[in-house]
Amino acid sequence: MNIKFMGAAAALVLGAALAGCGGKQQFAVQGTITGLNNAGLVLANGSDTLTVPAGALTFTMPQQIDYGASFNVVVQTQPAHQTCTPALASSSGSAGHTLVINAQISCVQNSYALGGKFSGLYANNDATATTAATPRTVVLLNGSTGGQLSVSSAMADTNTPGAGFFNFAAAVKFGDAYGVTILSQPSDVNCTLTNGSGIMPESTVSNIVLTCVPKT
Amino acid sequence: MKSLYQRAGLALLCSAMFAGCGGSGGSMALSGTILTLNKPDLVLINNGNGETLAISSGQTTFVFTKLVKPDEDFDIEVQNQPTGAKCTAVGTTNKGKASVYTAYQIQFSCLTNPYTLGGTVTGLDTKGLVLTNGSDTVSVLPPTTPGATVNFTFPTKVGDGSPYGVTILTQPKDTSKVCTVSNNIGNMPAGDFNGIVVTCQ
Repeated sequence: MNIKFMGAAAALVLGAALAGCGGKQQFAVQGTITGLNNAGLVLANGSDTLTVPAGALTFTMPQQIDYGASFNVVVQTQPAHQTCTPALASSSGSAGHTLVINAQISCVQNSYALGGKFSGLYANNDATATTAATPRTVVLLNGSTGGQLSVSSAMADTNTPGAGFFNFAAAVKFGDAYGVTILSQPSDVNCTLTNGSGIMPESTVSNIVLTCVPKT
Repeated sequence: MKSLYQRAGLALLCSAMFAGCGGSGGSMALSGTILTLNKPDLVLINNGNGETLAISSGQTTFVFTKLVKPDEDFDIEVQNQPTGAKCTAVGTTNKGKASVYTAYQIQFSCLTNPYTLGGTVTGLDTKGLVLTNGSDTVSVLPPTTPGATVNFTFPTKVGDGSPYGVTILTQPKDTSKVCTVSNNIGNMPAGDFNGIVVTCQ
């Protein structure tokens, strides 16, 4: 077993040595890409750069490198609305460690927080000498798949009673629609939403306003 | 090697026979996990020994109470599907000969039945109305006959019992009319729901 491996290694060294006759063996700095939907990605290996078109699944840098030379493929410019990340293990190293270089780049759509502020949401008036008041809670919903969020009077800032900020746990991808509704609210208050729907821009959304007033 | 197995088998058989006086003599409890079960009335059965096991809504693990012996055949199937959902075995984890590698790895995955969400629009004269259920959008065009009611359905179905909340994403263009939506929040019933009402005036 060992001898076989050594034989193969020897053959490789021999091959490398022969290749050495005409100059060192050359390696293409190349790899695979997943999820690239937009234009604008620029990859760099040192000073060698490559603009990658939308939809590309593979790439090959313009310049080859010598056997033994080190490479490090990085993202110089991100594509529009996406973030690409080279895999640590495969995107850097030295040529010849593997038969071919295969730097893996994965791209995901940028996503941002969805939230806003609330006001008029106070704890119930049921505090006793020994127990604290129970909070009032409004449940917000971003459609069937965007998640629920319980906005509680306990989330109010200490210096602005009844008012505070909220964010959905699930971020929303750039370009996706969102539509927030009130799924449930305490029976003794009337809550309304403004700016509840829109298309996620290239930034966080924090302009949803939840206003609650006591029922009269 | 083979005779060793046979001897071990004989020994097991003997002990099983003795143990048989007081019970099945098994040593392993068939058990596993259930993914995303949000509905009641699921019943699993082990066709190997006939034992049934009722599973509650929200349960994520299960353990059959009758112990099984090494190499005893088991075949866990759904005897009764949950109301409003369908459960299936993951891979072939539900069948085999009991061993420490198979008896505790049984997996079922459940999917709540999906239904269509939709409704009607009245008073729509121009293009541009877009409704959204979270990220799922539907564009509603004006009727070919002016004044007629338009039906719409969302492209993505909603699971039985899941919440929905429909809002107006964009108002119709080139009109002074404003559309409002009602009957737009709730939990999906066990069937299509086409009761969302959009009124443009």
